[in-house]
Amino acid sequence: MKPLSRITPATIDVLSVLTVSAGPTWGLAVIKQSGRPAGSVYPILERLETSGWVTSSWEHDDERTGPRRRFYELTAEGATAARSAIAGFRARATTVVTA
Amino acid sequence: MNLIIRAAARMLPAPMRDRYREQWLADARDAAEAGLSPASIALAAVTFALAAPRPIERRRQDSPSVTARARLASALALSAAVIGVSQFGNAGSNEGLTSSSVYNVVVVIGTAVMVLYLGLAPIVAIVLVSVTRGTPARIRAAVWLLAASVLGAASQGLINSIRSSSPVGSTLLAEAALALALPVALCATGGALIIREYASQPQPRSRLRGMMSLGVGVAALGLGLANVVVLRDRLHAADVEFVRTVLDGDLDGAAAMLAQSGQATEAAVVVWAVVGLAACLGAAWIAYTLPRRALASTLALLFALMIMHAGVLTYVWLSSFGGPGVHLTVPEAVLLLVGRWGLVAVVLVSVGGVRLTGVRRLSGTGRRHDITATTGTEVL
Repeated sequence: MKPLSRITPATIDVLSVLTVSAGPTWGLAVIKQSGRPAGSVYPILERLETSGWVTSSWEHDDERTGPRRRFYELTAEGATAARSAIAGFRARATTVVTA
Repeated sequence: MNLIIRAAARMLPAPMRDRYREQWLADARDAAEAGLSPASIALAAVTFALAAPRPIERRRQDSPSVTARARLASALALSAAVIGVSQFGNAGSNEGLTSSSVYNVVVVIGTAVMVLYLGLAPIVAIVLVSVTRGTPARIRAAVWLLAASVLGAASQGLINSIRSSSPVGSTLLAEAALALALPVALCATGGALIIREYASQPQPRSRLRGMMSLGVGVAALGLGLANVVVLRDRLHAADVEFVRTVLDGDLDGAAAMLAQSGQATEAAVVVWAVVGLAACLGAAWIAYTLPRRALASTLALLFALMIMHAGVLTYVWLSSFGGPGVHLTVPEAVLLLVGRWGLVAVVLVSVGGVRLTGVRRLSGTGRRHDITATTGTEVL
């Protein structure tokens, strides 16, 4: 797993959604729950996947035909790094507010 | 929406294409379930595709047809760029030139094509810029300059459109002139960086070709600028004198001045056509005989970008100086038509065939990496 070159507020929002999810999360659900536009979330998910923070897989639904949904899930290392990144980001945000 | 998504997926690197096409199509289909709009998914797909990281692919063995296509593309690209840049400031005529129905055909075809590329050029410019990730800084700077020149030319066209729909006496002339001069300057700078990079090749024959290419580019730009200074000043002075002659009531004198002005214009444009054609052919020869190694360089990408700019600039010229009442002789019209179709051909061949292929690392030597773009040609 590689560290992220930059962690933006949008990245934190995406990581927050993935962190609280119990299992694989539909990409569109990540977009909806993060409150960020799809144009921001797709590249973030791509970066997270490329860096090894998340893995993605196709849905397994025999009843749905046509194109399949893509689900995302934090890896074990990614979950640890995500919680650390979120905590660090919020700590910095708190420091800025109180300064 | 599905069409947009499929087009966006097509723009992605091959390893990403199938996965994201299916993912985006599924997301667009089920967007309502998630409380989102399919349009937002389609827009996100386009923005993702434009800025997607393009992983370096392993090179594969080229074939003679690919090499031939790359040579032809390079030849058409450079010659079309010369045509496009050298047409800067090339004026239409006043009364007196031979009217020709061929001109009307040229205008219709050329304008339709250039309107299409006016929309495509910025998108292609952005895509090509993203493909240069990892290339040497000088190459990236050249591509950025050319991309900016494309957008600058597009803005000039927009300003001209605003001016044409504004009341008489619009004061946007200075802005339009600046927006036209700026992309030319950016294109020239970008082109100079390209040629300088090419001329820095260690092989003596490559340096010679690089310097010749530079000479062709400078000559074409100089020809265009000379056209502006000489032709415009001549026409402007003639117009002032013509108006005074008409106001004095000397209609015979005015008619003679009109014919003379038209003849001078025709002579200047014919000179441009001959010299421009020679420059165009020379540029095509230079590009066609590029050494195999140079074919596999990022110059192919930059040539494609220059084509886009040349296409946009040609359209801007046409919208600025062409129009009803402007006539060309048959040879001039044919030359313009060839130039425009050259742009179309090279876009279809060059842009459609260019891919980023391969990184060559010379481990242990400390030498720079050679990031190349090619139409599939083996670099080494």
